[in-house]
Amino acid sequence: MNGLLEGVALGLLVTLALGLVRIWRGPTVADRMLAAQLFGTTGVALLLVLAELQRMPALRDVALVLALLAVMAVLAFVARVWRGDPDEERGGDGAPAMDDDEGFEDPR
Amino acid sequence: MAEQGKAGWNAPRVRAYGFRLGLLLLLWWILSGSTSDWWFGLPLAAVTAGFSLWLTPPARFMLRPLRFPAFAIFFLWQSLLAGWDVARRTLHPGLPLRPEILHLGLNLPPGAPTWWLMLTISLLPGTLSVRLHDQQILEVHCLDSRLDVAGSVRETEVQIARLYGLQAAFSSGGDRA
Amino acid sequence: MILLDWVQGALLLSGLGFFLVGTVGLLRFPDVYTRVHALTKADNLGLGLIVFGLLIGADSVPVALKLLLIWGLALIASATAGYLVARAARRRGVRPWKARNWEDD
Repeated sequence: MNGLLEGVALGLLVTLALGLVRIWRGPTVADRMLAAQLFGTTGVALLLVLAELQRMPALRDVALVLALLAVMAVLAFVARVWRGDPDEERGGDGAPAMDDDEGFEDPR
Repeated sequence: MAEQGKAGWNAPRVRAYGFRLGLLLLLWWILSGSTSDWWFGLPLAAVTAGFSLWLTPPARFMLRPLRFPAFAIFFLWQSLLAGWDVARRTLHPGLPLRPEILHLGLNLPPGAPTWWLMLTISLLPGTLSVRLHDQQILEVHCLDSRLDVAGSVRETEVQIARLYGLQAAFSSGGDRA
Repeated sequence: MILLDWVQGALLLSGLGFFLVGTVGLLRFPDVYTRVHALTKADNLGLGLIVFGLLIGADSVPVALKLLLIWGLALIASATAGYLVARAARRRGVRPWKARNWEDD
């Protein structure tokens, strides 16, 4: 089973490396940001596999934090770097809620 | 917000407090693992639940926890289909894509139900939420305009309405923009 | 036990397969919107399959629930991120790519 886990971890690393091509090519900043999102999800999977492989349960907590941070990165990017028309930004359409444990309810 | 926070303990607030306390205790159990220190976690969860009630008053729409498994099964099956669909298109040499942006009218009430709908749609086969106009019209980007996008969005709406116990509003036929 | 090992192996490998598909889609698809599709759907299913594969080997209930919690968070995170990127692109006026052979419309 360890051999298989090692293979999966290696494969995930390869997908990470391939994602770099999209950062290289662009063409828009958003395309590069998508590669960052790819790194978030793949990184989480990689950490979970490593936690099992190396018997290090703490890596699961790292994965959890990474999952939360990946979305923060995209949020910061959209809000700060790549925002659209500032007037429209004040418009009525709301972004989905981001809180984890309270997310089931509607902040009126 | 502050005045609302000072309001008395009516039934929705008690229910919301219980719900949030339960979620926080579950979270504590998961995060602290086998060495759960309940003497620390229990008071912490109680205080945090109260604080969250002050920050975010109880919502109009309460999630029905018992209906969650049915939704999870719907969601798991749809994610499998979505992954399969996107894999097929990615690996096909001809790259069979026919993207289009559609505008669909929503029937769900604004707030949490609509947010859940938008998030779920992005994980369904061939659909992606792009924008929401006036909490009413959802702009959906679809990978293939030949798919029945409106139908699958409507089915998801029904699923989410069930999750919130709202299905009465959905008995009538489709009046979609 | 042997059967469980096989199921676990199949889940992990197909999870890896969907991660590869997501990356290939990110490289092959023609515009931002279609790339968001490829990334969110394929990677989330990939992570889900890997999580279910690891669930088989989980040694306690809290560990199993933590794996599911991580998947749920990642789902919400990447659906939100995909929506935000697509919305920002739309607001910036990035035109969606259209298929060239457009017969019936």
